[in-house]
Amino acid sequence: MPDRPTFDARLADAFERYVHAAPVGVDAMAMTTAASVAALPRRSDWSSARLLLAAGLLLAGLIAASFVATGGHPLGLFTVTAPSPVTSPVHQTSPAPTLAGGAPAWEAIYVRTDPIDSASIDVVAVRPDGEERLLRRIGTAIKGSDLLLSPTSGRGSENGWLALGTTSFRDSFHGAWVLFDLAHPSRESRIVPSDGELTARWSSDGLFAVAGNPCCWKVEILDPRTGASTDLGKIGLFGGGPSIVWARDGSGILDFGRLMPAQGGKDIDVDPDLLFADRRVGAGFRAIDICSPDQTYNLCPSATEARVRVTNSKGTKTDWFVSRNPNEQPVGAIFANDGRSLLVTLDRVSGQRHTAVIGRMDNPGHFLQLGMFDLPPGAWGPELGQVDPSDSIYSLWYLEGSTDNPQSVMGPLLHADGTISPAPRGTFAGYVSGQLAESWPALGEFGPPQSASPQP
Amino acid sequence: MTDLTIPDTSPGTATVRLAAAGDERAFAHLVTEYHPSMARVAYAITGNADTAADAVQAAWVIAWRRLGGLRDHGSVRAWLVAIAANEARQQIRRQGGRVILDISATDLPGRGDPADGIATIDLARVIRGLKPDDRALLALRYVAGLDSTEIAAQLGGSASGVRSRLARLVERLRLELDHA
Repeated sequence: MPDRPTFDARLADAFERYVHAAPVGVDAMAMTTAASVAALPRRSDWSSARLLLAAGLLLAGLIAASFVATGGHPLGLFTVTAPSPVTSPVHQTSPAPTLAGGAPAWEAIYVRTDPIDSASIDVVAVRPDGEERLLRRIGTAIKGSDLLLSPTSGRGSENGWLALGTTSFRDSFHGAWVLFDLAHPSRESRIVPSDGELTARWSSDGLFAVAGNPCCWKVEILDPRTGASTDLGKIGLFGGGPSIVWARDGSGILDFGRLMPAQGGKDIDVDPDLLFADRRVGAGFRAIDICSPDQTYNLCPSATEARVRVTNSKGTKTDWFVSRNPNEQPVGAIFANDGRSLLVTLDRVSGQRHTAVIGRMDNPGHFLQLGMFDLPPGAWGPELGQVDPSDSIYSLWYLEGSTDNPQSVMGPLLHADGTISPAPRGTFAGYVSGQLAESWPALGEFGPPQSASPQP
Repeated sequence: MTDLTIPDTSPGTATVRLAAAGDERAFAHLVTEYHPSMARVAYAITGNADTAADAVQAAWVIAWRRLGGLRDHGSVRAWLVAIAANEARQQIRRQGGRVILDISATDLPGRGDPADGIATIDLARVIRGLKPDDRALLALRYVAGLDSTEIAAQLGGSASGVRSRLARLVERLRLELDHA
């Protein structure tokens, strides 16, 4: 009788099986090109790289074919029976607020597990003053599927569609996005199979782009209103993937520093004035680096002070913020809604306490403070979360717990008028115009959160 | 401990030197060779394919930027998997530990007596209860096959310190898994 394996050997064997679903497939040349683009944003002639990619395409196709043959789904679009209907009563209402001067410019969409029925997800529209309206209550079960809708992966479009991701315990590649028309509750939802999908993003005009895996960065665009889909083929996604970055006008997606038109075809140069939906990308493909000498990977090796550096489309680097105070370090920066100015987050340290400071920079060296928030005792690592399209509401996150096992905590909302309010409960999904949101049917209304207690 | 040394089939230092100089073909060679190891390590830490893919892709961007600063070209594999491990830890940190563990309900067949094995679902449960740093340590040891000296070189600290941490972790896993 053979000896029982040592625990060490059993553990190694268990790890080997545990990681069998790891995303090991890669198009090496595409990854190389994307890494180099992400590392140094610049215009380049990618024709030679694209020739090399052709070989990768063949490999990716073979991988995809084998994937489908083993039970996976190609990306596609089809309709299914709607998820479970709303059956439980609305549990809390408050008088509808009076909106002076009409609808607000923007309302935020949040999704969260229903506090009474844990098998349902609530979709709420949140006005800038914190008043909430319950738009939909959706059962998490999807008929005929082993998938469950997830309350932590909502993504809303500006024209009123909501995509909810799914969870599965069957395997890592098994999943889907379910698309709901918030304006028309009776409209049948659509399911987009996303086995092995890396990411998905809405365009401003309601096209849903999905980047698939193992066909690394093969992007398909779906129009949920018509069911039409467009295969864009392989795209060099921002940051080496998997971020899909739409042009703000919905005209296309960043592709190796160029623009792939939404209708497909050949990629084109990025117009220097073109704005993007992702605040990490500025007009004409500007990019931001936060350089910190204290980090293992300092992006500005020759710099001894922390700084915020912007690289324009020609590769020219400009330091916008240079920290002269070791107790006030830049920890984040995104582009403002004009694609040129910056919204910078500073971590100001005094003794053991940290303060988040958010400021706007319209020019290098000119920091205009917009708001600040003293983190609770023991908290650190402030980060700027979502910013509304008007650049007037900023959500904060920070860290709590030990440094080797920190927990990210949603902080309050900072308003441009200096006020601070509690963040809505749930997961932020997107912004829609107030006029549109106010036209949608609602199941009930809620008052704003009453305390600023952080959400784990 | 069991010998987990992985045979060295790595690209030569000349390839690493070329890649560090910006040669895209050489860099692609590194991607081909080491991406699977990095993906497995990242997956072991995050337990989620999407998050792991994100971490490894971020790791390659860092590698492109920093490869020129790598002094010991012979340690490129350990260096790369350590970057992937660090990015995976950062992904968990950014998501506040909210990464959803997507695990297979069934183990791979053909692994001998089931009584001798550790169920994947049990391992996933135990890993979920570990700190990101501890997950990274286990992944570098049991998935990447690095020894304590290599891990210490990448993460900082001493080899003996790594051995002590690993021993404590393995003992914890043994207690939890043997009672699963």
